[in-house]
Amino acid sequence: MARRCSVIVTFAVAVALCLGMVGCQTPTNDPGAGDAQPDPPNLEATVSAALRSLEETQPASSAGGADPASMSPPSAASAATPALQPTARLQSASDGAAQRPPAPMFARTFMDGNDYQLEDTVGTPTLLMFWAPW
Amino acid sequence: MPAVQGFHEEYHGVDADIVGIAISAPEPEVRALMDKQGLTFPIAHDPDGQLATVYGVSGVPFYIFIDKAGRVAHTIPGAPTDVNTIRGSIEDLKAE
Repeated sequence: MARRCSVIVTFAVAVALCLGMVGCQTPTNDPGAGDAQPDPPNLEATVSAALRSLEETQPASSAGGADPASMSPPSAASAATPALQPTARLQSASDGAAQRPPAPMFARTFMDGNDYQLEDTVGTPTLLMFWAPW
Repeated sequence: MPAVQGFHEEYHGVDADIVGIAISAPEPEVRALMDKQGLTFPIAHDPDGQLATVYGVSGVPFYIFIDKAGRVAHTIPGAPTDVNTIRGSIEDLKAE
């Protein structure tokens, strides 16, 4: 009887030890001191990489946005910038038609009282002659 | 100016458009010259020089040749020594 009890106790202790080992291993894995810690660095690396890529793309996009912005005002209203562009580009006009600058479009009521849009002449060669009566 | 009027009568509505822009002068003076020289091509009055500034016009006369695609193809600042220079530029654009 005593042997049975000792065997049972021994078995129980062994089982308890085994459970304890498993229990210890499991909690250590759950906190994941090794796995959980690498994850945040990975996230940080991913976020930082994303931020870098944004920083790299933003200057390019902003630069690209500046060009159209500088192109549209000419035809719109501002005069200083476009004033210099046509003359400079015309000197290289012979290089090819594709490199010619777009003519600033305008719409006005002409001396004859008719509304006129330069855009209406697209499709036909047009001579613009600036002149003064003096 | 008479030569440009001739180009207008020759090309208008067919092969090329001639557009005049009068700057730096009061409207009555512009009309007076139009009547005196019989100018019939469309002329805009640009007293404040806004269009001239946009096109980079530095003085008059100033010729700007615009191709069929609406692009500035060529300019002639100042009076051309030969009217055929203007005609040649128009003909070049017609041929494109």
